[in-house]
Amino acid sequence: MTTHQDPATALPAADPGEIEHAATGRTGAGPWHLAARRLRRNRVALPFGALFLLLVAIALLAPAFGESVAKTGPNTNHLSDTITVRGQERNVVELDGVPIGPQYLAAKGRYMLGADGNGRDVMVRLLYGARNSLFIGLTASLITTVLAVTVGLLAGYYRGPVDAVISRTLDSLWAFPPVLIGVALGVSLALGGLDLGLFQVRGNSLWIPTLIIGVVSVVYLARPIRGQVLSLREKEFVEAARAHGASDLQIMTRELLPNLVSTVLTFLPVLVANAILLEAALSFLGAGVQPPDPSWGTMLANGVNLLITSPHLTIAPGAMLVLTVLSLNVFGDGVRDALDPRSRVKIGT
Amino acid sequence: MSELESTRIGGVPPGDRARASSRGADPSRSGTDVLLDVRNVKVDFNTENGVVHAVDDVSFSLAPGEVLAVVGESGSGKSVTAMTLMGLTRSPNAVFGGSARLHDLDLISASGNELRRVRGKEIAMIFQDPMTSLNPVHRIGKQIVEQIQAHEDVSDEQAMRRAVQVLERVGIPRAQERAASYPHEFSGGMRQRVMIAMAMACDPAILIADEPTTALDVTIQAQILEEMRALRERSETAIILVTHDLGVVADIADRIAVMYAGRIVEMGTLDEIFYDPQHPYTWGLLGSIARIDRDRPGRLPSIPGMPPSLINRPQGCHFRPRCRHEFEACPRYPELESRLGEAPGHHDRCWLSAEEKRTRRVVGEGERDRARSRRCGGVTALLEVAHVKQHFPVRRGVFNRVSGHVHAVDDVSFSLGRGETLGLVGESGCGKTTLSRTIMRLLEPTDGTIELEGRDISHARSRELRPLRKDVQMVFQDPFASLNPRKRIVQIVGAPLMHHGVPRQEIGRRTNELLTRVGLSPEHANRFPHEFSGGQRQRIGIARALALSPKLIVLDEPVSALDVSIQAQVVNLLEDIQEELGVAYLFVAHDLSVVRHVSDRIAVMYLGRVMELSPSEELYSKPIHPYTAALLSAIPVPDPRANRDRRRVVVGGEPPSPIDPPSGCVFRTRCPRARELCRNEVPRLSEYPGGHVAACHFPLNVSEVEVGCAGKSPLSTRDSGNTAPALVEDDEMPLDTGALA
Repeated sequence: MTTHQDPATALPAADPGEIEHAATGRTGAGPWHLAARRLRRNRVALPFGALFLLLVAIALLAPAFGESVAKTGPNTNHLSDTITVRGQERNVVELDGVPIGPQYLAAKGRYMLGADGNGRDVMVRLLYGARNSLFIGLTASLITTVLAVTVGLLAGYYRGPVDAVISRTLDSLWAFPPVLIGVALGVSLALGGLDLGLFQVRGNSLWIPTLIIGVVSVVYLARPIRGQVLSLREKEFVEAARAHGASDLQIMTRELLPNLVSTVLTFLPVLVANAILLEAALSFLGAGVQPPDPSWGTMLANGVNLLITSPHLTIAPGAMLVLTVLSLNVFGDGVRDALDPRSRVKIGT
Repeated sequence: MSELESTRIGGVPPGDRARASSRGADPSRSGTDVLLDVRNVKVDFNTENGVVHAVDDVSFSLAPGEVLAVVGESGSGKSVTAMTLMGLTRSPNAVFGGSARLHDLDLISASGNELRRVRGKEIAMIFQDPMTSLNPVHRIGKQIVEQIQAHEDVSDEQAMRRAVQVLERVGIPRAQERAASYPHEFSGGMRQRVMIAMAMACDPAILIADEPTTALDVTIQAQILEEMRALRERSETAIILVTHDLGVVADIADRIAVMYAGRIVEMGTLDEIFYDPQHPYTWGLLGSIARIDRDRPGRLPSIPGMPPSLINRPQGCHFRPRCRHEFEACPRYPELESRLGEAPGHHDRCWLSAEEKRTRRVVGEGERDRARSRRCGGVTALLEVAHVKQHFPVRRGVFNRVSGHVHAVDDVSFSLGRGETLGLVGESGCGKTTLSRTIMRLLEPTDGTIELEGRDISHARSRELRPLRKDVQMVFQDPFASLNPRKRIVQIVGAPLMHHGVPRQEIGRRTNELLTRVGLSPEHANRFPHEFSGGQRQRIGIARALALSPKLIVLDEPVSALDVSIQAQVVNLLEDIQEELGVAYLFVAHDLSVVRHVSDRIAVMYLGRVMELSPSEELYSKPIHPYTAALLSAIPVPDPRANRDRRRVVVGGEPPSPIDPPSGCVFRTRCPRARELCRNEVPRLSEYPGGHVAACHFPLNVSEVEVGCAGKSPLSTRDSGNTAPALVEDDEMPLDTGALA
């Protein structure tokens, strides 16, 4: 590599008369600052973003709630227990198998949302389920993002055979309904576990649904990323980088990657929402989170048998799903509007 | 209200152009003949950063058959004014004021339905980019028919007959057949004709042309201007021409409105504006054009600074911060009124009296004494390009079979000395950009050699190229696309240093140095590209190119995206840098006036080949190749009187496809001098007196004797692998300038 220039080329100062004056605006208010400012002004997206954060916070507090308020764990059965509600003794599960309904605050925080067929506290399971569902949703989306950006960058930047191999692989993934692949993989892996050489994954581990969902969703993000790279690589700033001797890797990481962040940020909330939904679907079908571990999907699956007699078993996890997905989608729309200044929003009056 | 009355501007009676250009139209007639009466139009846009006052208090009137040119820098509100008349600026964030009366309708307050009835029928519009303004999925005949049937109840056959008629009128050959073609089957110039035909289909009273020729090549521009001039003669249609090109204005306008920061600062007839301009901004605008009809000044005069922000406009006269003649009255805003006793139709916004203006006025006086000595021949070669070809395969069908080649660059040879500037001009598609990319080794040449300081780099691998990259740098055309929008200026300018292993603290210091050099301040280092204007961004691009202290900078249309006043600043900066650092430039451009200003020698390309390569003054005064002559004659000169007498050689037709170039001389299909020989034999590059090198069988401006003894240029021989830089020597041939057409 070459070293720095000799002092003879030190540049003389410009003609002061020609100095143009600074553009207005505060120093270094970059594209991210501007987007953040637009997002902060969005009266709809922010509350929904806050709602999602609240859900995450609640999920994190699940063990504390279980220990100190409900005084039970998520997988603890109370088939033959009784509780005292307003001075009355009641069975947690009646003899005919019908569990107790929501007690809200009547039972001192126990069975706030009732019990399930095994006498487990639905509220506790709901919160632990939120932990699992959100963990899978967020981690899977992270895996998706890393894979999709890598694959999309390579395909879009190199084009030709590299693109052909990557795109055809994605096409064939795209050709199957994600739930179908998910169930197929989920069931087979849950039986045998996964041996990745360095680390083994047991059959009932959360990592199995996480990895499956992460990989299955790659297509959704990789395609737009590839398309964007295809157009970005023709921009003159990429040519400029090549002209001053940047390597392919430098161009991809230093020039292209920063321009992909807005695409990723736009997709991310929707990606998380979809991952949570897919997790629920897989768990519902028995291919996701393995019993007795709770997740919103497994809770729904448990509840369908008692749909008529104990609707709270399906309503509670269903409502959580709806709230999570809704908050993510609305917040995602706000992020998209903030990142795209041309979005038609009426300003002021 | 009385003030408003006084700012009204009389229209010009139709068909009375001689009178119109002589001062003062008859006021009694102008009252009755007003077609469009625009009064105090105001357009504000609410944005996140505040209210943008795009158009403020614009008043003018338009008479039938009149051509009004609206000129100004970008952001002066000229396009917004025109679009507002069409109702095209309406949006939730736009606020309008004033009125624009056409017949009995106020275009500003009209409802959507009322406007729709007027659009196309009464007011038609031609846009800048003919490539995107036609719908690609409909045949052009059908698009015109739709337009006609939207306004008139006529049968399909009748409408189609009309469509064919208007297509014929705008000079589309075989209009009957061509009406069934799709837009992609037309070239850019032809599409612009189709746009004009479509606009004229319903015989509108007003035609708004927004930069109608900016996207076109000069020879095509000349054809379109010819067409618009003919159109004006034939019909009563009034034209509002929005443009930044004063050459085009001088060609066809009757009256001119000069806009600055959203307001009209001067308005008058064509001759008044060009020969007796009143506002200092107009002086600057007229002065900063590089002109081919004048001697080359040492430095281009420029308007200092840049157009003001339309959110916080300067107090008082908006032009004050850039004006050399500011005095105590300027903090008050001057009204647009008649200040010229002998020309009551002429209005301007400047406090100076007419006499003061005339004594202070300086239009286009450059510092002639600073004229550089031309470096021509005799210098050691830096870059040696020999027989370079760049062919791209055209693939067809399922199996990607190669069905032909685009001959983008075909057998080009030249050499470039240290510290020299070689201009590379030609119409779009002539291969000049491909050639510059090949020299940068962003592309690998199909054939031929490129030597940089004696090292053959034509097929060097990317690893070998990397250390060589610091010697050749590039400045790009588009100041918006060439800077990564997600990176700070310090990262952009410092990137080349970083890639060449310069330590971090060193990069910061050097970046500041570079920014200062190109006329920006080191405080700008932490900003992002979007915070800068086009001219400033181009300066950043130049700073980046200078970072590695290159020996050659390839300038790919470095000023064509900028306003003339800013162009002059950037051109001057480039010249200063060259003088101080001795860097060589390869200046690629389509604007022959700017190229002439900066270049020592100029190569004219056509369809991938060099047609002529001559010292720049020689090329302009005595072109040898008919194509050079045609290019020069197609440039509209910003001088209305000269324009009226100038004899033009308008070349017909358009460049043929580079996939299947003509046999023999590639220019023969459009050349007025073409004969049988031109079809059969490729002309060789030959030397002519005065340092010219041209490839033509029947050269211009050369006597028979000279043609006979014209030396075959060593550049055209096939075996010049390592011949010395065979630069043109002035004394090689008897200098006899017996010009012969």
